[in-house]
Amino acid sequence: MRVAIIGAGVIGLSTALCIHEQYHSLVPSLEMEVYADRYTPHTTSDGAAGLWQPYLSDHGNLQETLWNKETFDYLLGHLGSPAAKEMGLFLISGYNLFTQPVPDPSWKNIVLGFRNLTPKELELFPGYSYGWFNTALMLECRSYLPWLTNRLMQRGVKFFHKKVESFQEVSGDGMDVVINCTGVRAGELQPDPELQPGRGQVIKVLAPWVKHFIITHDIESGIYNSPYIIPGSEFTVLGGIYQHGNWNEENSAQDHKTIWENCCRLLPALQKAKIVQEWSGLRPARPWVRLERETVRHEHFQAEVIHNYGHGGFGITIHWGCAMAAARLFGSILQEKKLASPPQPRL
Amino acid sequence: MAAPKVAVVGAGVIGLSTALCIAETCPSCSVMVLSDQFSPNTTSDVAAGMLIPHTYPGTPIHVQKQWFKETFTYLFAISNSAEASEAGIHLVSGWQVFKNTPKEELPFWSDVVLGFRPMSKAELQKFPQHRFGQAFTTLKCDCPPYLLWLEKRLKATGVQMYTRKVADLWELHSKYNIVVNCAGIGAHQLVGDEKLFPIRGQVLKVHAPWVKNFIRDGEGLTYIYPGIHRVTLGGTREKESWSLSPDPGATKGIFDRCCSLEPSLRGAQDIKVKVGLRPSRQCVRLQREVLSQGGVKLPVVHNYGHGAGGFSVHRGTAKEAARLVGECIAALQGSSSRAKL
Repeated sequence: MRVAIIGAGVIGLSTALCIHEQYHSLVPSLEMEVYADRYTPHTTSDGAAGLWQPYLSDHGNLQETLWNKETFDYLLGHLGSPAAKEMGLFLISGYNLFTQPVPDPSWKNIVLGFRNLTPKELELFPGYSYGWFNTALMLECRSYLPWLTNRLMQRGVKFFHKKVESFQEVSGDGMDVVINCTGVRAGELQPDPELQPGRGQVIKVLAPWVKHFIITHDIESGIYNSPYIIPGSEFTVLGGIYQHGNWNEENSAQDHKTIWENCCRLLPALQKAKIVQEWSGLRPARPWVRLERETVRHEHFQAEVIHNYGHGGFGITIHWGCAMAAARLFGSILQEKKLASPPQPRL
Repeated sequence: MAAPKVAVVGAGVIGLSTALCIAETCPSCSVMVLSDQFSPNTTSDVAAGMLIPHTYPGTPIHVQKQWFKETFTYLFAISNSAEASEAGIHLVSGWQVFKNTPKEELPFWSDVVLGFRPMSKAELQKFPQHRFGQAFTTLKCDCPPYLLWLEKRLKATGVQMYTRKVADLWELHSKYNIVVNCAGIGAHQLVGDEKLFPIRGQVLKVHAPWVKNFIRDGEGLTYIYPGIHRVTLGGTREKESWSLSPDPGATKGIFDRCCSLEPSLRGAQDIKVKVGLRPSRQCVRLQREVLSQGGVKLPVVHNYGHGAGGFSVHRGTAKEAARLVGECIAALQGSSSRAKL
């Protein structure tokens, strides 16, 4: 059984690992190949700070909330293991800030120690009158993606550096299942008007005295259009840009100014921080994640495709729950193929 | 008295902060700091500088709380300013965990630190050997940065600093009107205080930048305090030990105890071992004294014996010491005007 995964960001690699872990012993003939035009450190995932935090509201999408929870619990379970450092996984506490009271988020009982901010804590953030404190997780992709890659290579998964132009390109070669983890450029394989880029820009600085994440929210501007500061293991990420429909991957001087001024206003000590890097990326935004099977037919060929894309700004947050859901879809494909296979010869 | 000359002996966190308070409250004073050691070689440089008070059995709790509150408020303002990184002051959140539920579930300082509350069951799952815990956010003063920042502030107000070993306070009476004794553990020899004794502490300072939260075992012996560049792992408490040499057995013990609280520390790099002698006493000696020898009087203000809690109360005791210096000046002025009659 041959499986092709298109895309090597956090979604592609984790889906590959999840499927291989669950099914390689059941399907001895399982051959898996990863195809991608970009590998770490050049994927969208690599630009993200890596903080586990869903959006403020799940819009009633309980399935995504469950996938977020599955991811958090999975990662929490790995915290004490020797792999944690290599995975780029660690605990981090911090603040979410608002200019007015807001309802508690769907994830309040998923993270650790969720509570409202006290008046004294709010003194730290002039202009904000309400907020949350909680402990969550960081999963830095510049460590996590290489870790996933190593686990996959150890399992004999093959990697190809190639821009895939169509599903038949990979499935025509006897590929039984194609897993579509192409993120923001999924529309190039199959048009999807629901998928739009949510352009972001970040400044990476050296500010090792910052030990908390600080995420501000402006209900009118929308998610990620308000300054945020997220300390990593080496650099601190400053951000606060979300431009729906903007495909430009070049850094913008105007956006740099917005981020820098807003973050320095939030944390005056940042003025002394040394800027190390600037990066722009396109969040694969969609009203909801596309995670479903499709039988793709074209002339003489037919392939089972599992779509797993459209994770917006919460890919790291939701990745493992989605990987497991994709693995379940894979399992159902296996079931069907067993039913379709020829009957055993009678003795 | 035109310009009282004040000598501050000691350049750890107590000496420097006391000198600064004196310069702030008495602009006409000429203040000088004398010490055989300056940062990075003081006892303060070994400490993690966490604002978590140590309880002094001989000092009323409301006094200790006042000292802590003043210190916390002062540092909180700095941490919130553009100078925070230069001063080495930063907020840090974490957990104090107990194997057995403590007698006192609410320490006297719980309403001074930020967001103090008991840990949830989910949080405690990370610490399977511990049954109870407290979560809060407090401040950390990283040294050398904080001491160097204090030195910079002192120079800006005209305070001079000299490297000099003072063997006897009387050495200073000809040049100075008032002596402030912030000699820390050095006071044992300097003023012969038998009530002052060292509690030896060994720590490891390691490179583990993914550790963002502090963890402290409620007994106080094992702790993990993330600083700007290094994480301080501790520690030991050896009463009456004067040895400043690192003990390899203690290094292993500290490392193993900390790794059992935070397994990812196994990947820590570049382990540096440091030793300091906590200047321990039943209570902080914070009082005036007039030394007398052959008809000559020397006013002294003592501010030493902060043990394991120097950083937590330093600004509060410095302000009190500066107030006592003011009393000394008033007394000197009173006696000099009497002399005119």
